[in-house]
Amino acid sequence: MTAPVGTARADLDGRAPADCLLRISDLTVTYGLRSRQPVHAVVDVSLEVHTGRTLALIGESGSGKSSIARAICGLAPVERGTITMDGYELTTAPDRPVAAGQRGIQIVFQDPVSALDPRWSVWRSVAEPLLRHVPSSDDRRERAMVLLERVGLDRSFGDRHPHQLSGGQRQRVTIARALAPAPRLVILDEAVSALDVSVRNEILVLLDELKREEGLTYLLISHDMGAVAQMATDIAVMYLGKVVESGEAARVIREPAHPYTDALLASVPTVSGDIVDPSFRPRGEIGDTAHPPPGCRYHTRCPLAIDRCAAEEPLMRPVRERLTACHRADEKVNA
Amino acid sequence: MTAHLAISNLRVTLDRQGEAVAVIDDLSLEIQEGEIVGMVGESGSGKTMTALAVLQLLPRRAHASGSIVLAGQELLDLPESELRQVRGAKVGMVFQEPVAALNPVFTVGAQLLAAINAHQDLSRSDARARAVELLGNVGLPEPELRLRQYPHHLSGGMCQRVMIAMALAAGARLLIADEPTTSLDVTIQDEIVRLIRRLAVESGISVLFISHDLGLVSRLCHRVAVVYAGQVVETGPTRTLLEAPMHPYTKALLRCVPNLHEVGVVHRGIPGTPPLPGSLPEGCRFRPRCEYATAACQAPQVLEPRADDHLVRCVRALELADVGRAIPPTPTLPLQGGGS
Amino acid sequence: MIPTLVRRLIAIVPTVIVATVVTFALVQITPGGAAEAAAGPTATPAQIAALKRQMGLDKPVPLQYLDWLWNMIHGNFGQSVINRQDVGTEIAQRLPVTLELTVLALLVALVVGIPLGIVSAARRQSRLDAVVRGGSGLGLAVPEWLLAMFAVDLFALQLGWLPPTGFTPLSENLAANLQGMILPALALGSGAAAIITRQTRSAMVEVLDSPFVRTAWALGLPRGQIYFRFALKNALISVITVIGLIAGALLGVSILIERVFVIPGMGSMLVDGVSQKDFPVMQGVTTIFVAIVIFINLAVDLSYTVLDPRIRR
Repeated sequence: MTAPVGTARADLDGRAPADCLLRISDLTVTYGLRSRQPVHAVVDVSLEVHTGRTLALIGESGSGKSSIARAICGLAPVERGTITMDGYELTTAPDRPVAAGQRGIQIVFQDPVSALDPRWSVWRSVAEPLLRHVPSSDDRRERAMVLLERVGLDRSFGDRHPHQLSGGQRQRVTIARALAPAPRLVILDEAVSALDVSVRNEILVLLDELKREEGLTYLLISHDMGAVAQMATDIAVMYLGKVVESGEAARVIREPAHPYTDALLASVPTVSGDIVDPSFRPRGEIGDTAHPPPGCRYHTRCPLAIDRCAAEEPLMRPVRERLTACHRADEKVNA
Repeated sequence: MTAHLAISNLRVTLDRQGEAVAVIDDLSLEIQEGEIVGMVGESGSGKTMTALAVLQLLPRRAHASGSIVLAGQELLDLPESELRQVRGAKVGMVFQEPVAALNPVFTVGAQLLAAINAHQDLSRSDARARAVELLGNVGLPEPELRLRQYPHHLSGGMCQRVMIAMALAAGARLLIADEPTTSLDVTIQDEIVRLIRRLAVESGISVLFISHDLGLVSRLCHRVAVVYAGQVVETGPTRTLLEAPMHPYTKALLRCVPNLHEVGVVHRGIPGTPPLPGSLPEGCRFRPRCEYATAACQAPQVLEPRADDHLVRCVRALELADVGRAIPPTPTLPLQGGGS
Repeated sequence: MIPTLVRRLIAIVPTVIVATVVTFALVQITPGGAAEAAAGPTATPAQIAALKRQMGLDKPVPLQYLDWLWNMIHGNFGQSVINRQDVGTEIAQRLPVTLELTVLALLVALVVGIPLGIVSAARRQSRLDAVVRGGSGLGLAVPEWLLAMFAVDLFALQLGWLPPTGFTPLSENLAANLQGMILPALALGSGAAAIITRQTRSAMVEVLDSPFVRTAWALGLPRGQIYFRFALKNALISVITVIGLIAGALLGVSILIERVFVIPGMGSMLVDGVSQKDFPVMQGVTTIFVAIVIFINLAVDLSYTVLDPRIRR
C-alpha cells in the first residue's frame, strides 16, 4: 500500500492534483496470470504525470518500466489498479490501445528499424495515424511533410525508404509519426538508447524543443541516467517491479535517498567526476522478477542492507521532500 | 621499447559491387605492454573492423594492407595455420552481445574447455581445474555450477564474464574488447569495466578497449585514440585528451558526455552524420560537421604531433587549443597503475 | 527425459487412431468391393450378398471399422481375400525388409548429404559449391526409379559388379544381403541425399554467420572442430526436421524401388493388394506405413530436446 495519491504531491510542492494528466494507481502488471509461473512485472505502482512536465522512469532490466509504458497503451495485462488519462479510466476501456490513442497518448519505441514498415515510404509511415481522420491522400502527404520539417528532416526524406536513413534520422521519423495525431502525452520508451551518444543528444534537443513548442508532456523511460538528467523534471526510480524513489529530478540526482539511485548514478560514465561515493556500488546480479527476494527487493545487492531489510518490505514514505522506500533512508547522508 | 601491438598505416577496403571502398584509411596505433588503450568513435568509424583486422577475421569481401605487428610478429598475410596459433593464444577478443556470442547448444564448460584445449595440452582434470579457476578469476560465483549451465541460463553480465574468461583461457597477453558493455545494464556495465581493469593490472595484459562512449573509455584507459571516418584524428594520454583536447571532434564528443551536475540542461550532440565510406568529403572528413572549418580544411589533414605525446589530425589544432574545452575533469579513479 | 517420452507416446495415440480412421474410410471408398473381388467376376448377386454377410461387410461401416480396429489391436489383420494367407504374418515377414531398405537409404542420404552440405557451405560461392548444388539439383530432378533402372543396367548388366535383382535375407547371409541392397539403397537414397545436402548447406550458411561461430574462430579453435562440432550441432535441427518430412515420401518411393529390384518388401505386397482389390492387405499395409511415418516424426520431435537445450522443460 502506498501513500494516497494526490495528497502526497500536494504536501510536497503545493501543486493541485487537477494538473495531473496521467494517473497510475496501485498498478500491478502480471504476465501469464493463469500459468504455473505468473510473472509480476509491476507491483503496486502509483505515479502521476503532470501536464507540461517530464516524468522519467529509470531502472535496469526487470524493473518493470517498459511494462508500465505498455500497460498505459493497453499492450500489457493489468491485474490490478487503474490508469487514468485526464479523468478517463483507460484500464477498463473496451479496446485499450484505441482508447489510449484517442485520449492523446502516443509512444515512441527504442528500435526505429522495426518500428517502421520497410516497404512504406517515409511519408506514408508518418501519415499512418491520420488514415482514419484525413481521407485525402494528398492532404495526408502534405501534413506528413510538414511534420518531417518539424523534426528537422528535409521534405526529400518523405519519399525515401527507412533503409536509406541513418538511425537518428529514422528515430526522427518515428517522432514525427507520434506527433501526427497532435498528442498530449508522448511516451518515450528507451527512444534514444540505441543511438550513438552524439546523435542521442541531438534527438534530446529536438524533443526538448518540441515539448515547449507543442505543449507536450513526456513520460521518459530509460536506463540511462545521463539522458534522464538532461530531460527530466521528475524522476521515479524502479527496481524489480517497484518504485524505490520518486521526486523532483534535481533533488533525486543531487541528493539520492535510496541506495539503488546511488548505484545508478555511480555507474554513469562521466568525465566530470563522480558525484556519489563509489562505496554505494551494488553487489551481484540483478534479481529475477519471477522470484523476487523477500523483504526489500534490493536487499540482496544493497551495500547498506541490514537484517530488517530481508524481513520487512519498506513502504514509500516522504523523506527529505521526495518519496522513497528504504528503511535506512533517514540515516543516509550524502557527501 | 618495442610496442606489444603496433598497427601501422592499416587500410581495409570492402568490395561493394565491384568497387573497393575504404572503411579504414591509414590507421596507426601502438599499445605498450600492460597498457590499456581506448578507441573511441561513432558507429561506422571503422573501430570494429580494426579489431577484426588484428585477428584476421575480416569478412570475405574485405582486404587489409599495411602492417599489424603483435609481439614482433607480422600478422597480415600470415597463413591460416599460423594465425590459428595467434588467435586465442596471443590475442583474445570479447564481442558486443555476450549471450549471442556463446554457442546456445553447448554448455559453458564445453566451450571453455574447448578454448583451453585448443592451445594447451592438459589432462582432463587439469583442464577442468583451470576452467574453474578462470571462471573464479572473472568474478563468477559458483564456478563449478556454471560449467554445467547453458548460456541462456546466465544473465548478460555473467555471459560477458564467461567470454572474458574464454578469451584469456590460453594465456593471451592482448585483450581486444569491442563494445563489451553496450548491451548490458548500467550497473553491470560498471562491474565489467572494473573487471577488465583489475585483470589488466593484476596480470599485466594489454587491452584495446573499443567504445562509442568517451566517458567509459576515460574511466578505464591510459591512452585514447579518437577515430573518425576510418582515420585516427587524435591520440594521446587520457588525461591530456580530457583536459586539453585539440581536435574539434574530440571536443564535440566531450560535450556529449553526461554531466550530472547540470540537471535539466540539454546538451547539444553533433549535428549531421558521419560520412559513409563510399562518399567521403574532400579534405578534412569532419569538415561538414565542424564548427571551426575554414578554407585550410579543404586539404587532406595529416596526423601530426602537436604537443608532447599528443597527435592530432587538424591543421587548426594549435590555433584552437583553448577554444571549446569541456569542464576540467577530476576523475576519481587513478588512471596510472593501481586499480580500485 | 522418460516422462517426456511417455507423454509423447500417449500424445500420438489419438493421431494414430485418426490415421486409421482416415485410412479405413479411404479404402472403403475405393471402387469395387472386397466381396466382389473375392467372389470373382462370374459370381451372381446372391453369392456376393452371401459372401458379404459372411465377411461381415453388411454391417454399418463404423461397426466394421471398430471390428477391424479391435482385431488389429490383437494382432489380427485378417486374411488376404486372394490367397487366404494371414495378412499379419506376411507383414511381419516383409516389414524388416522394407525397414532395412529405408534405413540404408536414409543412411546413404545422411552420409552423403551432411558432409557435402557442410563443405559446400564452408566454401560458399566456390566451384566446389557450384558442383554440389548442381549435383543435388540433378538428384532432386531425376526420379529414383529411373536412376535405379539405369544403375541396374550399368553396374549389374554391363559391369557385372553387383546382382541386378534378387534378395537374400539378412539371417541367411549378411554379405549377400548387403550386396543385393547396395544399388537399391543408393537409388532410393539419391533424392533424399539431394534434399539433405541442400538443407544442410542452407542451415550451415546461416550458422556460420552467427556471432558464436565468430567467437570460435577468435579463440583459435581447430577448423574441423568449428565446422563439425560447434556449427553442425546448431544446423542439425533443421536437417532432422527435413528427415521427418521426407520419411513419408521415402516410404512411397521404396515401393517403386522394390518393384525394380524385386525385393520382397511391404511395397510389393501393397501394390499387389491394390491391383487385386485385396482389402485386408490394403488396410493392413497402409496402416503400418502410416504408423512408421508417425513414429519417425516422433523420434524427430524427441531429438529436438536432445539437440537444443533451450527447448527442454
